Amino acid sequence: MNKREFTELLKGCRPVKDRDGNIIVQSIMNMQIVCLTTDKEYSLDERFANPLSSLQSSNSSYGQISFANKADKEVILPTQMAVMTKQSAQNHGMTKAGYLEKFANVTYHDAGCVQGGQTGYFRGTQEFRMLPVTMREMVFDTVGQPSGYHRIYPAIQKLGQDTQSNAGNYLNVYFEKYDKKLEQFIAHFERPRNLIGIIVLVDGEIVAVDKFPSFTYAEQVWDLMIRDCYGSLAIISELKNKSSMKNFTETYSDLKKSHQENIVDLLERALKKTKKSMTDSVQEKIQELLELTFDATLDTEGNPSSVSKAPKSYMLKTEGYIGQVITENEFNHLVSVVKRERFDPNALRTVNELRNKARKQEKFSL
Amino acid sequence: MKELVLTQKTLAAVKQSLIDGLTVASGAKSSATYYHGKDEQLKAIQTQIKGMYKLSKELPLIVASQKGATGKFVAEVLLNEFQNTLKGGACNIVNPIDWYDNGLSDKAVLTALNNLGENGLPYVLRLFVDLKASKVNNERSRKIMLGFLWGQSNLEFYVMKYRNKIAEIMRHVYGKRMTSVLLSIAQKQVNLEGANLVGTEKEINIVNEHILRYFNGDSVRAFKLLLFIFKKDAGVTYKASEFPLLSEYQKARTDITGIKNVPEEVLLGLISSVKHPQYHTMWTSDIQKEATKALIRKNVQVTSVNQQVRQTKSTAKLGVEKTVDLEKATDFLALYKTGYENGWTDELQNAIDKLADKKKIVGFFYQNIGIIVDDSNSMTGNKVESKNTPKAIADFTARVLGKSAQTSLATKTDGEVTDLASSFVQLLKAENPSKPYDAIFILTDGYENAYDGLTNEVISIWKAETGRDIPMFQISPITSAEMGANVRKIGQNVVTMAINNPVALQPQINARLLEIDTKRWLENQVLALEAAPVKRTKKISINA
Repeated sequence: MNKREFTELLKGCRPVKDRDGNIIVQSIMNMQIVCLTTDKEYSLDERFANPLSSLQSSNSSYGQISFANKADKEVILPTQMAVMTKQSAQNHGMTKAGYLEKFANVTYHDAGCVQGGQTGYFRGTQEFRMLPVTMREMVFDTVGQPSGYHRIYPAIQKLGQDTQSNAGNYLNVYFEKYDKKLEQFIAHFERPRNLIGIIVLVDGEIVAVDKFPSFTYAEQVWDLMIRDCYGSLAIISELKNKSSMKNFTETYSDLKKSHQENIVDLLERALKKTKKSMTDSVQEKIQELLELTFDATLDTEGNPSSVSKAPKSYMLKTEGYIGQVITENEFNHLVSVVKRERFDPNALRTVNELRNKARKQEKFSL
Repeated sequence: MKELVLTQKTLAAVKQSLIDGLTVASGAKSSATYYHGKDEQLKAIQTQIKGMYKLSKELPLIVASQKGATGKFVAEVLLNEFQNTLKGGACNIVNPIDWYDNGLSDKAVLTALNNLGENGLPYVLRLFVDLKASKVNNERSRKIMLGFLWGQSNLEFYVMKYRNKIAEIMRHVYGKRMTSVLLSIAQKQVNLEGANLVGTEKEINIVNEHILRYFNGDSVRAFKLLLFIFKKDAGVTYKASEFPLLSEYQKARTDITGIKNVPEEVLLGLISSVKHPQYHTMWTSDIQKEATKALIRKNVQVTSVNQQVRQTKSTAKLGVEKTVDLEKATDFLALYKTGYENGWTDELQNAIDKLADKKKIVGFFYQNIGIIVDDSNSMTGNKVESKNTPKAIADFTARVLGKSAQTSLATKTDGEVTDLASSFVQLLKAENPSKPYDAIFILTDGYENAYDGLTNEVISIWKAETGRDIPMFQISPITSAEMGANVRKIGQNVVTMAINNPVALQPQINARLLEIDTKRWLENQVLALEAAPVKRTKKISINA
């Protein structure tokens, strides 16, 4: 086991900002996303093939998924991809991300069923979706555990409760109920050019961070990430009747009390301040994450071993967060981190506060 | 026309239905948008039409007769009308005597059909094929289809370009038996080569009933066209003096070099057949194919200017130098897409500017306007089906608006995401105090990224603080299936409109007037239908 700093995981990345230097925050209800970008040289556009079109998936046993890479390029499997097939077969989900060499055939034995009592194996399919991000924590927790083909069921059951979809052990029930809404959800967010990663916040707290291997890769998986993965957060927010804050109106009212300038100038000032406060809030949350250090455990089930020179997979754990990194010679191709639901970031704040105080204290001396 | 039979009770519902219908009609296209699939769009259009029809059967046709209604919308209205037959549905606006007995129903259908034809003949042919697929073949639909097809002044060109489709439609309309009878008479008559129709009384009656009552020309010409449509033209002579196009087509069957008046796609169809004598010398290798395509592209002179603009990239790729008079182009989408994809030239910019000038709204209601154009990534449209379409519509509409008002100021959103609020403030800052805006137009898909409703908050405060209450129009180049093919509204402070072409602007603005006096607006529409110079038989004037 070794350690990984959060700052190291996202090195080279920076939030996309507007002309005034504010982080561009896109919002819907109580959910926000911040897009990350990087310098062109750190986007490995030519190296990896499109995971959604290069892979064909089959299986011959419950709880496993095999991928055949048909491309003459390596493939990074996105985090927790699912096979939701029309074939008469049991749908399956991956519990993590993965790495495949060009033209490789790889079997992951730590996948899980996501369709209750359905029987049958699928063959040569590209019917890929992604597990909702709200399942990510529970599913990551099963990696390395000997829990068998049913390892993903508890996470589906929880999703069913959270989204009032009565999904039971059937992920397809959730998708069938909300597919139309999820499709529309894509429209609410715009993918900036040169996207390399995404930070997702709910109620002002960071709940997920994803970093992709390249701009091209980010473009390829964007719709799936927004619709299948993050869409569940919006569904849950809607069920809880969460809404956007009227930040601007409040800011304007406050400014009006202390400023006598003309209305248009005041509107401009209020708008800038609104954006600035959104930026500051997000910046503060990201800043808190920078203090995190993860325990990293090498994951070799389906992924390259410690002696291989290929990119390696590490599972990441720390108090409050869990995730995975696919890394090669200290270059992180894919990072996927999610906040544990039970975790209250305020606890982290207290710890950080004390830690910072401790750093400032002088050493004991007489 | 007698008085409208619209009651006060149904007036409110009709009014709302009309407003929604006009928005859907002007904005909803058949293709996928950035956000929604083709099927979803279609379903939303159909739901809207069914809702209107249920309220009163005249409503969909009135809306489909408006300029700027999209081809898909009009086609769906007509399909719905024919499926429900003449006697289906209820007239709750127009007196049924006027509708059924005084021919208003026909005029409404034909006006809508003409409107569909304005979008291009393929739209009408697609509708007729859809009628076949829906097994609609009642007397009214048959007569209208035959009147339309035989009434085309450019029928010789159309039968060459859309031969199979027209044959499919005619076979459906006539039925297999009658088609066979007509072809048999035609073959017999053509062999006689006489100008006057000769045959038994029964045969003469059949030809008069099924062809000549719709066709502007002599019977031999009609028969020769009919034989060509159904590929029974072996041995038939098409003299260059009578059939300049079909005579060239006959030549092209053996030699495509030097052919000028046969459409490119038709020539490609001929040469790509292994039965064509030049196939082995002109179409067997990739190099031959490219050379043949280049030859055809260079020679053919019947390609429309709009099509030539769309072909800019492929023409250059084929290595053909062809001068296109851009200023003759009428399709702004073709001009814009050429610019986005191949780069902007002064000639292209000038052509767009002149086209915008031609399209400006005469007697535009507003003098000094502000315009905000959403330039975010989502306005580039769907990756596959409609790349750059919303962006082109928004850019051209902004230009037309600018030309239509006395003074205008336009601003584009800055950056990759939709930040309309900042643009709104920029627009206010740039306002000339001596010529304050009397309307603001916001061209956007309606999805704000900072947070939903931010622009509406800014507008609300500005209105409250300044006491100014000028109209704010949100014009969307796309409609969203989740809104029932309507526009996704950025807030309560704006009036929404969906347009796919600036031509739809004035009717949309006028439609806002129907909110003031719905009954009067409807009366004007019905009177316009009544005065429409359209007939089922003979010559339907279509500028396709």
